[in-house]
Amino acid sequence: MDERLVYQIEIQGLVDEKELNANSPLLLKVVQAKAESTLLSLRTDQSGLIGLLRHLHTRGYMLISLQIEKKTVL
Amino acid sequence: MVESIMFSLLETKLHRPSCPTKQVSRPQIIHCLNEGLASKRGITLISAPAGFGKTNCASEWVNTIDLPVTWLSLDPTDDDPGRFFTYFIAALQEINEAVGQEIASVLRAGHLPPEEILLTTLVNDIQRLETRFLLVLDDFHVIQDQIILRIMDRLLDNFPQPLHLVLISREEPPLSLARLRANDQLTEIRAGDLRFNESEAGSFLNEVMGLALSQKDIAALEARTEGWIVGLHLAGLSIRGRADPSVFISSLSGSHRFILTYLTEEVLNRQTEDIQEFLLQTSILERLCGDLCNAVTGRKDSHALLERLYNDNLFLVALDEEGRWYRYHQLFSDLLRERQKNESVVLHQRASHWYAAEGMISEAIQHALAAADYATAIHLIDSHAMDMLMQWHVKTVDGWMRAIPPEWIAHSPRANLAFAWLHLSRRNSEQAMPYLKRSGELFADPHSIENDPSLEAKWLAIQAMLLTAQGNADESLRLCTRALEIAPLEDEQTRSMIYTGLANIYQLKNDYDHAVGAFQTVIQLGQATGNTVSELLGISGLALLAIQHGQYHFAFEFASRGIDRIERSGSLPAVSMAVYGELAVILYQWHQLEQAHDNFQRSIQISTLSGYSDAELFYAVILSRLFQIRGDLDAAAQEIQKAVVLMQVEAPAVVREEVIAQQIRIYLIQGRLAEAEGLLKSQEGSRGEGYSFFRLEPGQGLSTPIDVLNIAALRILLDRARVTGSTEELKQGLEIANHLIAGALQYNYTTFAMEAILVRAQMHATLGDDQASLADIIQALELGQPEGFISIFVEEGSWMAVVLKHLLDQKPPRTIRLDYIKQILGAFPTHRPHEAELGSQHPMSEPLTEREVDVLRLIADGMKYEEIARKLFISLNTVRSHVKAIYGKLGVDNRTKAIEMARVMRIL
Repeated sequence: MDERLVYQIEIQGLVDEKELNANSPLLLKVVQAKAESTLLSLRTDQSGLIGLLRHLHTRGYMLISLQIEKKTVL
Repeated sequence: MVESIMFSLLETKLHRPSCPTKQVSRPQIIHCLNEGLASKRGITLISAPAGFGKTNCASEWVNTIDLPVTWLSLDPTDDDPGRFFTYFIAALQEINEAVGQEIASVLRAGHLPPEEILLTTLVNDIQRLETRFLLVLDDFHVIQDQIILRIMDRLLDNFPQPLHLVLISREEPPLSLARLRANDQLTEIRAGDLRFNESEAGSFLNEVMGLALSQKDIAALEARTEGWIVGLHLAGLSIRGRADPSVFISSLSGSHRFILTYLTEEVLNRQTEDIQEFLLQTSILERLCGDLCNAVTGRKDSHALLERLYNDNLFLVALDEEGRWYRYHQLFSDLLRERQKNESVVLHQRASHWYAAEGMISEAIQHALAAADYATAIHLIDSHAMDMLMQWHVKTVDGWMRAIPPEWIAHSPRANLAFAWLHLSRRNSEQAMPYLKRSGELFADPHSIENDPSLEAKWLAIQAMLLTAQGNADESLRLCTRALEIAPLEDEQTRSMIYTGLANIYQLKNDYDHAVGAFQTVIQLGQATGNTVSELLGISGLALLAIQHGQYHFAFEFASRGIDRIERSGSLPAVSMAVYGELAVILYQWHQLEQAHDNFQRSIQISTLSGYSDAELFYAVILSRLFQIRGDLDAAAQEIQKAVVLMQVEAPAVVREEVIAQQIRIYLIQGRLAEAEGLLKSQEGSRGEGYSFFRLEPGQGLSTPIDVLNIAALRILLDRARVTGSTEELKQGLEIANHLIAGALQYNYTTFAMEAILVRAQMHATLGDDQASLADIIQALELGQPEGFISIFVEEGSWMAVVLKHLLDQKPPRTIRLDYIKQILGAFPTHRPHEAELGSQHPMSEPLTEREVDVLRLIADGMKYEEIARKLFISLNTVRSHVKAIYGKLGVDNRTKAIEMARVMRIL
C-alpha cells in the first residue's frame, strides 16, 4: 500500500536544485524558482515528510508554506 | 554488583528483541527485505510512525536469515558522539572483536577521534571482515547530532562491502538517502507496508490475542484503527473479557490520537488498582528492573509483577534474555506519564538515589534533574562530570548544566566550580574566570551553604594552575600550600590535583628534586584511587623532566612502567602518546633506532586517533634526526619539511623551536647558510631585529623550556665562520656558549648542555684551539657516559667520528671507558660521506646551473635523454650539452659516477 502524497513546500529565497538535493534524504524537484522563494515538490509519506522538514531546518532553509498537491491513487 | 548492573544495562542496548511467541507473520515484507539483501543493496530503511510494529518486523526478519546480526537499540541519551560511537563499536564487536578496537580504546580514554580517522578506521576494519553481516540501528530517529550524522553520511559514501545496515526510524533519517534510492541501493519498508490489512488484523486479534471476534467486528476495528498495530493491540486488551465486544467496537470513533488515549484509559481501568498504581509510578522510568521498581514504588514484588505484565502482553518489551530489564512501549509510557506527571517528583528522586547507589550516574543525574532536585544533581555532576567529560560525553554534561536554573548556580560554589572545570577542560580559561571568581566570593561568605574544604582546596589548586601558566610561581606555590593544608587527607583526587600543580611550579622554579617528589606523589595517588589517567600524567611528567635533566635510566624506568600500565588498562588516554614518545626519545639517544622508531610510530598512532598533532610533529623532528644520523639527508629534509607543514596548523612553542632548530641544522648540512639565517631571523618577532641570544644575568637560572634556538644560532655562527674565514663573530659566540653551558649545567639540563658543549668544541676547533676542543669532547663524554648517550655524538657528523677515533688512538682520560667511545664510533653510519672525503675528491670549480641540476635530477630518476628533453621542453642536443657540462664540473665520465658524486656533494 503506497501512502505517499505529493507535497509542495515553499522555502525562502532562490535555491539551486542540485545544491538542495546534495545530502538530502529525499529527492526534491524545483517547480518554480524566484528570487524571493522557491517552490519544491516531493512525493513521500508522513515519516518522510517529517524527516525532510527537519533536514531542511537543520540546513538553514526557511520554510514558508506546505501543502498537499494531490492525493496519490492508492 | 555495580559493574554487573551496568554491564547488564549495556547488554540490553545490544540485545536483539526477541519475537513474541505468537505474532502475525508478514511474508510479503520479509520477502521484500530478503530481496533487498539478495540484490546486494547496502541499506534497509524501515520508516514509519510509532506503533507500526517496525521493531517486531525487523526482529522477525533477522531471525529468518542466515547471516550474523548485531543490534543496537538507541535512546535519546545516545545522541552524543562519544556515547553513540562507543555503543556503535560495541555492536560491531559482537560480530568481530577486532573491529574498532583502537577507536574504542581512545573513546574509553575520553577522546573522540577526528571524524576522518574514526570513519576510515571503521570502514577499513569492517572491510577486512570476510562474512557479510547485518547491523540494525533501532530508533535511529533519536540521533540528531550533526557530528554523528556527518560520520554516518560519510559511511554511506564509503560503504564497506560486508556491512548491511538496517535503520529503523520514526522519520526519514537526515542522511543522503535520495542518492541511494536513485541508484537502487536502498530497500524501504514504510507505514503503508506495515499497516495490518483486514486478514492480518483478524489473525492478530483472534490468534495472537486469543479473542473470538466476528469478521464484521474485525473489519470495523481495522477501519477504526486504519491497521495501526498499536491501536489494534490496545483495542484487543480493552475487549478482552467483555461479554459483547461488538457494542464496545461500535462505540469507537474519532481520530487515532483520541482512540489511543481512550483505549489506554480503557486498558488501565481494566487493571486492578494495585497494577494501575504500579504502571503509573514506573512509567517515569526509561528502563525497568525489579530492584529499581521496588525502590521507586516501595514494593517488594516488582520483579514478579513485571513478569506478569510481560506475559499479559501489557506493552512491556523485554530487553534481555534473562527477563531482568524491560521497557514500556513508547506510546504507552507517554500516555501513562501524561497522567502521572504532577506526582512524579518523589518517584524521580527515588530513581535518582537508586541509580546513584548503583553507580549509574548519568541516569541518576537525569532523574534528579527531572525531580528539580538541583542540590543532588549538582553534587552528582560535580563528583562525576570530569569522568563523563573524560569519556567525551561533552554534550551530555552540557545538557545537564543547562538544565540547572541560574539562581541555583549563583548560590552554589560547587556548581560554579563544576562550570569552571568544564571550561578549563576545553582550555577555555577566559570563560572559566567568572565562575572561579563567583566560587571565591561564595567561599568567603560565612553563610554559604557548601563550605566544604575539599571544594575550596580544589578552587585554590585551579587558581594556582592558572598562575603557573602565567609564570607566577611564588603566588602559585602559596595557593597550593594553602590548598594542601585544607584538603582532607582522604580526598585523594583533590590532593592529586594539587601535587600536579606543585610539580609544575617546581619545574618553573628549576627545583628538580621537589618536582620529582611531587610527580611521584601524583603517581601514588593515581594508583591509590585507580585513576589511570592521573597516574599516567604523573609518569609522563616525571619521565619528561628526567629526560630534560639527562636522567635517562630513571626516565626509562618510569616510561616503561607507564606503558605497562597503559597495556594493562585496555584504554588509550591521550597522555599515552607522550609516554610512548618519551620512551622513544630515550631509545633514540641510546641508539636503539628500530625500537625508537616503533615507539614513535605507536605515539603518532595514538596522537592521530586522539586528534592531536603534537606527537606527529615531534615525531617528525626526531625522525629527521634519525635519518640524519643514518646519513640519509634527503629523508631527513623531507621529514622536517613535514613538521614545518604540520606546524602551520598548530604547535606548542617548545615543539615549534625544536622544528626550527632541526630545520636550521639540515639547511647547514646542505650548505644553505643563507636560508638557515633567514629562518632564524624569521623567529624573532618578540626579540626585535635579527636574532638576539637568550641572556643570563648573574645568578639567573635558565627557565624551562630551554631555548634550543640558541644552539641553532651558535651553529649558524660556526658555519658562517667556516664559509667566510672570519673568526671575530665566532669568538663572541664562544662567550655566549660558555654562558649557556654554565646555566644549563647549574640546573642539570644535561642534554641541552651536552649539545652546546659539542657545538663549542667545533667552535674551538674552527678557531684553531684543538686543546680546548678536545677538552669539550671529553667533558661531553663524561656527562654522557653514566646515562649511555650515543646519538647526540653521532648527530654532530663525521667530524665527531674523526675526533673520537683520534681520542681512542691517543688514550683518553681514565674517567672515560674505551668501550663507551667504541660504542659511539660503532653507531656512525659506515657509508656516510665525510666532509674530508668530499674535499679530497673533487672540489667543484664552478657550481651547476639550475637547469643542470634539473637535468641531473632527471638522470638520477632513470630517465633517458629523449624523455628529459620532452619533460623540460628542450632539444636532445641541449640535453647532451647540459650533460657534458655536468660531467665536466663534477669531474666524472659517466652517468653512474655523476649521480654518486652529486649525492656525495649533496647536490641531489
